[in-house]
Amino acid sequence: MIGAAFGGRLAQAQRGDEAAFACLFRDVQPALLRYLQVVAPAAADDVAGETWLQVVAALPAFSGGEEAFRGWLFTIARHRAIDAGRSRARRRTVPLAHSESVERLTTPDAADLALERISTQAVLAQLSTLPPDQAEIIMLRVVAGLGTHEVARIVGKSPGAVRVAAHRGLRRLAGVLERAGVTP
Amino acid sequence: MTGPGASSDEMHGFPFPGRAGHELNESLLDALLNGQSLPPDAPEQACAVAEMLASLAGPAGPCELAGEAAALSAFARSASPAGTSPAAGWPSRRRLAWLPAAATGRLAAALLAVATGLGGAAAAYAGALPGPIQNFAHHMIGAPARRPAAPPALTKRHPPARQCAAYEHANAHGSARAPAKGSAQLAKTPGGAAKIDAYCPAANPDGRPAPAHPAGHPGGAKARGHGKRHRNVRGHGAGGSLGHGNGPAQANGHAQANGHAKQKTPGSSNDNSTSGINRRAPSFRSPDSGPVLNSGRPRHAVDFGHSHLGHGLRPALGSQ
Repeated sequence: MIGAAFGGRLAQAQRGDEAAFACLFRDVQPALLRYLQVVAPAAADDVAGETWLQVVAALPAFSGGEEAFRGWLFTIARHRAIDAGRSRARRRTVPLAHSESVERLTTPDAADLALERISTQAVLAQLSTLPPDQAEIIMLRVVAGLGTHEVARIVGKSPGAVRVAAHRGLRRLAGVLERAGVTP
Repeated sequence: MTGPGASSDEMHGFPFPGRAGHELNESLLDALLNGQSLPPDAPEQACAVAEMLASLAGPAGPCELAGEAAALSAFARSASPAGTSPAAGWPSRRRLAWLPAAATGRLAAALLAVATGLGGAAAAYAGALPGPIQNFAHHMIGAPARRPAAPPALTKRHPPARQCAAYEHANAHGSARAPAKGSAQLAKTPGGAAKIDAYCPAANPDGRPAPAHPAGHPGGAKARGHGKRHRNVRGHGAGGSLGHGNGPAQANGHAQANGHAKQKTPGSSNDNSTSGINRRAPSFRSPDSGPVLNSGRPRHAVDFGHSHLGHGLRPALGSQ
């Protein structure tokens, strides 16, 4: 998150300042890609590209703070992911293709989590084993940094349902770690 | 069975309620979701989950910013005044890798539309469109009027005729630029700028047909006009009461023939009897391009004018 400087960066980007836009891009892109690797694993790069094209085109008309900006961007990404036909039901059957650690972690041998530094890709693979709505909500809450209400608006659920789904997802993750012996 | 503080609703459906997550109460879970620091007495389970989530939100890896150049390129294209769409200037390989087929299709459609527009405009100014369409373009964008079926040779040797035509055409159509250009050219002719109106009776605003041979018409121009007139002399008779030049124009079915031909300088009226093809937008035509068929202009240039839709589009489509 950029924080207090976000308003200035956004205004500069809306006036055509490439450096300011690059700042916005670098701040959001990792979270965007990770989110898309969970909700549209087979097309994350393509969907990210489409999302940025749409963001660039509509950026001059955007108004709002940083959370609103992220909420807007992730809303676009979610729609593009749906358009790409990567339904959430397929997430658990389509492996992340480009990571050996993913292969290891999608197997029951999750004990590697305790033996080596946890990689982002490994955790993404672990998240992908959760029910789709729980995984998406955790990504929006934790990776995109959005609040419960913003996430609720994006996924079309009530804030209470979003909170419950996030809690369940985290408990599942804790259970996976526990069974793998990472935690007592 | 349930963890401290966890409601039965939250635990409903949890697959391993007795074995997993039982130490994670709601406040701990909310702290994890909000990225807050855990209390010192937080269970180890919570710490493990916190480590996972911290890894999820960790710093960008080198591959994750690989698309920055493409995004900046799209942004620069969008921000530039000349940019038509963010995708238009996407670097080729990167763009093809990023753009979906639908976006590529839209880009092709946009290029097609531009090519069509340019080709159509070029054809209109070259007078190469079918008659009714050419007339429409004539009135809408100031393109030359419909070309006669068999235009007589006009000519570089009669620049005053074309200049008068441009001058009066601009007056008739309200263009601010063309009159200035026409006037500048005509000012070089004998008599100077002050006599343009007299030199080109077309400038009279009442729309009445100009006298065939108005008094005071510059003799030089008249003599030049008659120097070629024998070729079109039949036009005088056909034109009837409207005088020189109307005959051929009417014969060619130009709806505005009377309105325009009546304004021609009598000395060049034989040329201007086909003046529909002389009234061309200056910026789209080379000075000697009026007599397209007879000026010896390179064939390919003529073909471009005639290509209107067909030739204009093929290169654009072929490049896709």
